[in-house]
Amino acid sequence: MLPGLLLLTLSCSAPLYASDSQSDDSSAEKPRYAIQVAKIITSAGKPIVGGTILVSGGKIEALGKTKEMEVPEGYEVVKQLDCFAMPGLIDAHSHVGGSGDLNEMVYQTNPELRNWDQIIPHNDDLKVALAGGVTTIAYIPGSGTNMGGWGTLMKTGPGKASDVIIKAPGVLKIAQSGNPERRDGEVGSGRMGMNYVIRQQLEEGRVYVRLWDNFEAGRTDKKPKVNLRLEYFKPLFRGEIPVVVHTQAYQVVQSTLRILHDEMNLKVVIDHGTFDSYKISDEIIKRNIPVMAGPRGFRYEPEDGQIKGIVAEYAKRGVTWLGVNTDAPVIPQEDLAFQATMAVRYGWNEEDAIDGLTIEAAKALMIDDRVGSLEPGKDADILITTGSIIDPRNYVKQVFIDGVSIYDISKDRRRY
Amino acid sequence: MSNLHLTRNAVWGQLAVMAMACSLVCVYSPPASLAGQMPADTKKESPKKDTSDKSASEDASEDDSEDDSDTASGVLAIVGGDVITVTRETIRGGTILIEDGKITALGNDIEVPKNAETIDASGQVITPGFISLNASRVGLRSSSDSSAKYADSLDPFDNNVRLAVGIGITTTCQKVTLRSGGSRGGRSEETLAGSSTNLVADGFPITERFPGLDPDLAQLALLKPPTETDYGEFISTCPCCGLPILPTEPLATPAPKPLTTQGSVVVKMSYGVLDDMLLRENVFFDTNSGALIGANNQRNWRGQIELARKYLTDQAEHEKATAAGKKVKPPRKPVKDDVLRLVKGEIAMRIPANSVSEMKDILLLAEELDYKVVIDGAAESWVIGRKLAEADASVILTPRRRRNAQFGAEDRTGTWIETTRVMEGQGVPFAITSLSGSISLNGLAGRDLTSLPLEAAFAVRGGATERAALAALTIVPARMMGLEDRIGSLEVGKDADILILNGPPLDYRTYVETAIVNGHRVYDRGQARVLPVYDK
Repeated sequence: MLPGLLLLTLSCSAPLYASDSQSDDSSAEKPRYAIQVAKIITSAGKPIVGGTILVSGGKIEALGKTKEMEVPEGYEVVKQLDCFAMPGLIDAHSHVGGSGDLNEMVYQTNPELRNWDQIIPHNDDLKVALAGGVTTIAYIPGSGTNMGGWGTLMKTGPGKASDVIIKAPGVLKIAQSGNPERRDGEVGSGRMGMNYVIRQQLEEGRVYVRLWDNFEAGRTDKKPKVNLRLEYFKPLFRGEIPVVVHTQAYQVVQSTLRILHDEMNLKVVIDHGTFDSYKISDEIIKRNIPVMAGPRGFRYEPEDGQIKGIVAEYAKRGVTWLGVNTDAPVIPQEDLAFQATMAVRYGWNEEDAIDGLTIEAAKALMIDDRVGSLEPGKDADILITTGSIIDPRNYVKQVFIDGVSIYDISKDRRRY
Repeated sequence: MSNLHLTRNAVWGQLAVMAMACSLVCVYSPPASLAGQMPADTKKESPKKDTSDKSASEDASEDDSEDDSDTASGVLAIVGGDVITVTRETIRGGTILIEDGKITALGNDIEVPKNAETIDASGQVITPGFISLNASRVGLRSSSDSSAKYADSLDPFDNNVRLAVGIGITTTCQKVTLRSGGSRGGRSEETLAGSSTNLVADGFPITERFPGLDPDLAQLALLKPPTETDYGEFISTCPCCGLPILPTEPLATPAPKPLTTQGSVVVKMSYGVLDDMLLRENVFFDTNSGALIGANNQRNWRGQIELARKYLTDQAEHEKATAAGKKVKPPRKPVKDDVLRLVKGEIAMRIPANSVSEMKDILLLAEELDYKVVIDGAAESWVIGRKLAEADASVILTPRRRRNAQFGAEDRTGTWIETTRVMEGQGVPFAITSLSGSISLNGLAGRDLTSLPLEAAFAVRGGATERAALAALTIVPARMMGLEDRIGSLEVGKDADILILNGPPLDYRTYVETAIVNGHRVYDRGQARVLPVYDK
């Protein structure tokens, strides 16, 4: 191989795309808006009735009651006085951010794989998705192997890869049951083997990161060798990015909690959490782990023949760090809000559902400093809707991403 | 539990025997001792004591119904609700009277008979039951026996029926494979009417209904079976996780295919009640995609229609001649019955088509050859709204179905969320179907048959009025099937297929509290407990 080239590549180190939009020259030219609506849903406290949002430099500058705010000079006023404004929606589990390469299934664990090289910004799925209100997705590898690779946190709007990526690596994808099972007699044909394979790989990564931590802290002079396969374990074990886990059903979630949280001390996102896994809610609450449930939204309980809303069952048991996902294309990306609609139909609280689509998902993905709520300083990812996004009769009229209007049905053809 | 299936089948065997016994009871005026086995008879003495076949059947049906739905007077009254009739004005705080499965009175100043059973629906919304045109395997069991009749495949205890009626679907049109059994043709709904019987079990000790049935087995009969899933022809599955995925690539006009026809059965979702569950057979001339594409197909089709028309003329002349006393050889029938029914205007052609060019061909032929057409799918119908209106065509839409536009032709290809608005604006009647027509318990929410009213909510999202979207679930599909005299709206004389809802019909939070099918109270949410139970 070419070790020199490798070192060169890695010298910029992870995360490659740390959010730093200030350095973007174009931000100075970004338009300034004063968005006036009937109601601002902030996902950070109470809604503001009759509110205005000031946007400049791609960020939210200020927001408050329209009566109490002055629109400074040079701000274009967007008047939607019969509409709502809310933060853009965030999907913690999506596969439609790029070319369809989800799984490379030669090795059982693939920490050498990353997917931000094949993203396709603003592709056909994402164009419709943002018309459905989705502005941020966790674009992740599939569950064909126990460790699918490193995923990208990206926006759905147009631009170059560097424009749309929020964080890369953004998450690690681990799968613990079902799909990654190997059926030809290797270790990993069952759950014991798969969990061994996962533990073994994580342990290797943890040792690698410890060596680098020791070196960087000056505890040793011996510089560890760079290993491309293990490099991205650094942000993972340093707690800067989470692992999103294909884990579902009580027993599997139980193993997720034990192995990934208790033993490996990782930031964990339960990124399916379906079937009967809500029954382990108390353990989830104890560890303060988010559940981004989906794409399945209900469970048909054989014991009493009743359909049960999965999110509602978590909520009933006290889990509050809750959201939904689409696993797009399983559920089309644009139907993220509809996933929440069904969760509410099946018993979830509507206000919690809006938080789940925005700030709770942002926290789970550890990008709540950038997105997930309408607060000064955050990215101006704003939806103008005809009413509550949970009601499928309502729709998105305009979308701002990073303070730029990228979809406006008064000019563009309606997409959803 | 592992042998549940087997055991359940055993129960069905017993039930089937019972059902057969009962049908004998109904059809062939039974001896009193046999009639006495009908369990409800022991509790309630029927006021009518007639010996004719018909009333024996009626008695049995009354006796067999749930005791909270039939009283001595046999009148069921729903009072106090806001009645959305669909075809007429909404009646605030109206009263509906139901007798013998029909709506007998409807309005504000209706006197409720003394003995009537009354449902207080104040604060609730009342609508006609919804109609699904793409249902699959709901209350209709498949049979490997090619000579089996649809009537014998009906299963009123199918849990799918309860789930369907639980979200408000009271009538389904289900495509079926035409069978070539010898006696098949002779078994129309007329002959079926007397052969079925009432089987009411939900909420009742089934052994009371069927004395002699093993109580343990009877208990199992009330358990819900696992449900098979049919995702429909449009859906592929994810190679990674095996879950269904809707394709989104741009549409292409299909290649010509030989014309084939399919049968359909209209089944009422009368959970637990077999009587009148089968409403009608073959309500469409159902043909395949690509059947009218290509010069050859079109020439053949013109030829068929020509033959059909000539035959009808010849037949009329033959009848005239016979009436005049002449002995003339009757004309030979050159086409199948369903082509004749299409030409006579008794049924419409229902054909799947999505691209503009395919739909245009279909419309041209329909206008030229003069028959009614219903286009199923109609993805690009928004492009040719006026043409559809001029051809007097109607469409079946699924607002959430997405096919991307051809690159560079975004203004005239692909699906569009505003299609429902365009159709309403052009006066093209549209019905709504769900993304999948089967009931799926795999956990994906809001995409199968039980999402039907939510799919109509997406019609409103696209700009249709709530009125049109509700019509798309009720009177429009009824008209497409030629069943508007029976179902699809709340009017005196129509079938009592009625929903009592706890909110507006297209609100995602709304649930059916009570569903009435053919005058029978077949579903109560609190009692059935199949849908999530919580306080709204």
